Amino acid sequence: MPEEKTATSGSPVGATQEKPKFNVNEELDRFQKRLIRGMEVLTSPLLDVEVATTPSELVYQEDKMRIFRYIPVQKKLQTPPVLISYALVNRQYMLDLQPDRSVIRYLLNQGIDVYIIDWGYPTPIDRYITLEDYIEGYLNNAVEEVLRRSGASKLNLVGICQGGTFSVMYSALHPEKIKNLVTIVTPVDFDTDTGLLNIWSRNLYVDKVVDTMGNVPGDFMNVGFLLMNPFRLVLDKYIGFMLNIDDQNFVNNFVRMEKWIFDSPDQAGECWKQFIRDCYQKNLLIQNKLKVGDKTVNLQNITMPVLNIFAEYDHLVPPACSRNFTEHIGSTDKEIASFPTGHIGIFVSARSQKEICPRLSEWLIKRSE
Amino acid sequence: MPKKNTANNSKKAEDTAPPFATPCRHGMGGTPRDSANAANPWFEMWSKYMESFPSNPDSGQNWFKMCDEMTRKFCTPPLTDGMDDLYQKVADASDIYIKMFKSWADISGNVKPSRLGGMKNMFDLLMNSQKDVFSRLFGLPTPDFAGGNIGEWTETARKSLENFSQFYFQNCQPFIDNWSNISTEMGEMLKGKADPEKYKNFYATWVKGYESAVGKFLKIPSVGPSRQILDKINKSLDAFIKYCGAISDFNMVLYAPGKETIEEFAKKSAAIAQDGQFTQEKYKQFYDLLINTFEERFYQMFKTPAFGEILKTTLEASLNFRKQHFAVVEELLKSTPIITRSEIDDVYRELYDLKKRIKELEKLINNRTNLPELTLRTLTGSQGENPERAAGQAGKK
Repeated sequence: MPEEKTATSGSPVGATQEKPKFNVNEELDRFQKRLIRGMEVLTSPLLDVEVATTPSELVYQEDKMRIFRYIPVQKKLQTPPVLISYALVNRQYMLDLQPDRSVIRYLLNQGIDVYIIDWGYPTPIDRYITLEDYIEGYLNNAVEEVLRRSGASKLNLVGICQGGTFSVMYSALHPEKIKNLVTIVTPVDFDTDTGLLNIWSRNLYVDKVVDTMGNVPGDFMNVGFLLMNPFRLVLDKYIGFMLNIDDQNFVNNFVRMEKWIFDSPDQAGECWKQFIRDCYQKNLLIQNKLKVGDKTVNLQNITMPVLNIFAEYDHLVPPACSRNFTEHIGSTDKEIASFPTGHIGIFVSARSQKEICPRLSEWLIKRSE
Repeated sequence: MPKKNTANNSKKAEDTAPPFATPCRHGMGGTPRDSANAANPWFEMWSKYMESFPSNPDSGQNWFKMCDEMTRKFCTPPLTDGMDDLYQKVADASDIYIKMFKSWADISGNVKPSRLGGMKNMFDLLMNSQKDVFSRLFGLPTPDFAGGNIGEWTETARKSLENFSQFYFQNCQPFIDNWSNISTEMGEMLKGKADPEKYKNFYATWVKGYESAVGKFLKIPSVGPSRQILDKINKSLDAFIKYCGAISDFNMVLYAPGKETIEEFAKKSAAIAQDGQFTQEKYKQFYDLLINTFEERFYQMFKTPAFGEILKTTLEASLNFRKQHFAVVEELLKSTPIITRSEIDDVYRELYDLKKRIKELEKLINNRTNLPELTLRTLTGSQGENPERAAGQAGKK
């Protein structure tokens, strides 16, 4: 998913609070010096743009889907294993983008055993993979493998964005395998006019898109995301970068974020078609009418404890898509947590480490006894 | 048609006049003339013709008339024995040539092929003039256009020409007429300040012309051995034109609010600079205003159903062109040893079905034999691989 409004845009970090008169010559001089310093920053040995640096091991692979287990840092594990299901759009290392703001590291430090699904990069051979293949095939096999390895009878499933929607479907179909369900910025009710993706998707000829393209290219998706806010995402963001190019830390994090934003796998055609048609266009999931293969997803089957986290300024998954999800499930232990941030801010903002990660880990540990 | 001269008249001329001023064989009754007398009327006619030349659309006909009359009146050479027949042949040939020219002049002077009636007139004139020419040239009896074989032929030809004209005016003329409108629209578009409406009108006129003429032909089914590729090329071309149209409409939709936003921004930014103080803080205000104004205005537009509709139309046109274009490429690749996407898609489909079947069988075996170590990996391509220790690899390509 693309970046939303972030603190990266706008005025330079540490800009003076004085009100000097605008002198063009001085400003040009300052600007040139900043660019020269910027070149030093970009060529410096301190330039660190590595992502996903938390140690992990590959524990399972099926076709292009892989499961990684992060190496625990605490001897005593506090919870049954946590399996994280990220979206097919973009990559799961958003949760481990920069070491000092890594959701994964935070959870490990709390003694949580973390597994994560890497859906991989679909190629043309994958164009016929369906929604059923993802839910009943890959996700189910991932759950089984984690249970087998850990010896647990149930696991904690954490779903993020579209991966959250998959987790909701899976939990409704296989509640017996899920101890707790956490949904983060997860769309479940797609019928809203508050999100551009929701509005634009209604008019898509999904059959024609897939018929023509096979898999839906990641760049095609990116164009749609950038179009949602072109002035911020195509212009302002890079002006912000230029104004802060002499700040090593800013540059490191900016480049990491750029790496993630445009690391966009293609979407397996058949699955994408069904997801857009049944969720965005017909809104079947919230109505308990969605079919996965020959099974109907009934949200009332979700009876395990549920924590639903959403971002108040999320322009990709507006709060209206997430907020009311828990009203439709069968659980009695259900909690909603909203935070004043955006879709990505949930994972990389300062608030993430201070408020969101603690809330998540505490909730999980509390329900793991 | 000149009348054949008599030997007597020729003899008189030979006696009394210089060779270059011999009496005309026609019209002057054989009266001798001196050179001055002969030249005067010639210059008179020439002057008359030249007067009409610059502006008169009938100049061509006047030229013909002048030549004809001058030939008749002044250009009969003194005939000697043995020359008479030769001269007569040359004179007849010249006369025929002039008559043919007259037919052409009549046609070109009368035909205004902008209307069907004009085409019909042209044909009638052609037939009538040719009747005269043929009869004189070949000595054939004057054909009866009202009956007989030639009459039938000419009538058939006339109808055929009418039919063709009708087709032309129904199918090609709208496009040609439209080009006239396009020229006007283009002139308007280039005049004065930039105006999206003018651009829109220009493009709408162009598309209308395309749809009413060329677009129709591209949809005609092809026949024969090259039918398939021709059909695909036509569809691809048609899809490309429509894609260009959709992109143009889409740009128009973006252009209008862009222009409004610039105007709004100009008004607001003037307020910032009103006190004449230019500080860094003011520049920041100015920049923020720019981004915020555009962001807000376009967001409001993006969420309208109308924008959703134009987005859909544009995407559809784009996909349609892409599909048709690929179809042409695939058709061309058929004769090469290169596999096409459609062919490989069939293979992918087969592989997908086979893999799915294997996985089902694998589960079935696992359930029956209760062998937990028999995992999916061992049957689906990762056999023998140990789970690799991949520190720091999660999420990387």
